[in-house]
Amino acid sequence: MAATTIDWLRNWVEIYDSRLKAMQRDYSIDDWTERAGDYSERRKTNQYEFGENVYAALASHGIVGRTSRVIEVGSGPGTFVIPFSKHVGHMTAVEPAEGMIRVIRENAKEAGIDNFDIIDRIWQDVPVAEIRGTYDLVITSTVIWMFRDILQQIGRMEETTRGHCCVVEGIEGTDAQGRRIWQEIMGEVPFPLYPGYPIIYNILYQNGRIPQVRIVEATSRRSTEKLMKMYKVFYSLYTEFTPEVEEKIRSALLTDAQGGVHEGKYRSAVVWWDPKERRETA
Amino acid sequence: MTDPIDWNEIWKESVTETNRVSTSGYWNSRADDYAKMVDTSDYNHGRNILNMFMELGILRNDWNVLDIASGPGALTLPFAGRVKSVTAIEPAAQMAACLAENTRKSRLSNIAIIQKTWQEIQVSDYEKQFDMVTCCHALWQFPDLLEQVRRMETVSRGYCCLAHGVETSEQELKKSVGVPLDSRDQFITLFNYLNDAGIYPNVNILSYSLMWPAGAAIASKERFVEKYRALTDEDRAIIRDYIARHTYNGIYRIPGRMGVLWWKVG
Repeated sequence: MAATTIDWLRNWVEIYDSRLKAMQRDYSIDDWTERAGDYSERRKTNQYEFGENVYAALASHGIVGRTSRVIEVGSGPGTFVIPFSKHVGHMTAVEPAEGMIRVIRENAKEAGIDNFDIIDRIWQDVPVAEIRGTYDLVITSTVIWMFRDILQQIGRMEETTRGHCCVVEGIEGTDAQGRRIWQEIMGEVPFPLYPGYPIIYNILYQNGRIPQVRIVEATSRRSTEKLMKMYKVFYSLYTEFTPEVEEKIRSALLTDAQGGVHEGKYRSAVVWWDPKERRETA
Repeated sequence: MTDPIDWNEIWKESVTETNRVSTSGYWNSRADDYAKMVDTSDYNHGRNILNMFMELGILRNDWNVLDIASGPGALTLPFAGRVKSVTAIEPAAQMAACLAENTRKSRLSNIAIIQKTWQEIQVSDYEKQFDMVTCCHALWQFPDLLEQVRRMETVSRGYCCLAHGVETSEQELKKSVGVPLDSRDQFITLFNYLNDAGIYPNVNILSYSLMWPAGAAIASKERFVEKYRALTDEDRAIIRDYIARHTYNGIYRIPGRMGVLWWKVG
């Protein structure tokens, strides 16, 4: 076998489908409203350390700067919108969940920023033709696993930018706590995979792009109460959320907590490319 | 669900043939044209890697760097101009002699040359001695790549940096003379192999130019064919015609891209 014979798009779809198969139902937009509080807490850790580190990585390669117009696909609580706004000309958040939009506005107020706007839709419904080439960077973090038609959505991102595209994905295997709790609740059922890195790199490369990568590290600090909420949403999708399940999660979280706080480091791959640059493919 | 992929096997398979034919003897025969290429190109690929680390604010002038399979110094010399010392490992005697000559001409006094293969180096003698370990365009010599990468990590207290071409050139010429085309997928195999091993490197794709005086370009292609079989008059004619068609102002130039994979050693 050679690396060029691997069908990475098929690989992506298989992982996507196997996750759906393992679920009782797929995520709905309301689940993200439920998740707004815990997600915001995570992203705000150490004054948006994650977003600041991603910004620094991109800025060090000349991808973003003071005058850049940036659009964030699936902004959540303002993952990049809040930290980037301080550094760039304008930010646009694409975010459909009402709860997340509320949190973006709260976080923006708290950070004293107003150079942003919000498109309250899912990315797939954004009329790309109306915003074609109006941004210098399209960026998204931990969202692309929702796209079964990944290459089509990547194509739409590329249409939107006159500069670069960037996807930021967690590195597999860093969520030890999550896997422990899964085993406790789901036993032998395999931990669900979400397609991300490095498959996305392979898809881009195999399809002629020239992607570059910077690995960044950030801290996540969350309260037991907020984490509990996250796990509640998550396990409701995979099993019946009984008092027993809740107790197992609570007990695992209490074991891990230091003064009611869960702190950990996580690493992410910042993958960016210029859609205008193509390499010769076989 | 997708089966796990054995990157070790894929890598081994992709480099076996290149490794078999690219002996020290071959590189000795290539030393002259390769050194001319590095000189004519003004150390372009090494300089571009150096510039990247300088622009990222990573490189420090008090560094000790180890350059594995240095050849005539494409990376060794640009780095030596900016850091405290560079130790070059180069097994081919003629290549090492070219590096010594280039060092003398550049008046640098901070380059040490060890004429050995990387595999012959006792890593316990150099544990955490270097701030960066580099290996540029030479990974084909390691079918046991991961083991050699771990050895690189043993001698590094800072970074490891591997560079490999992402596009192969001269496909038309290779097809015409009937020698194996380079594997197009070694870079992406390398990328996946490292990720699979939990290394998760940073990746920068850099452009570079290799430039030969026309005569040296012809010699390099002739030696390349001889890696696989005896050179015929027909080969000579095809090579001369190809180089002539791609030479401008006496210089044969191959533009290319390389993937620079680098990480901080934990």
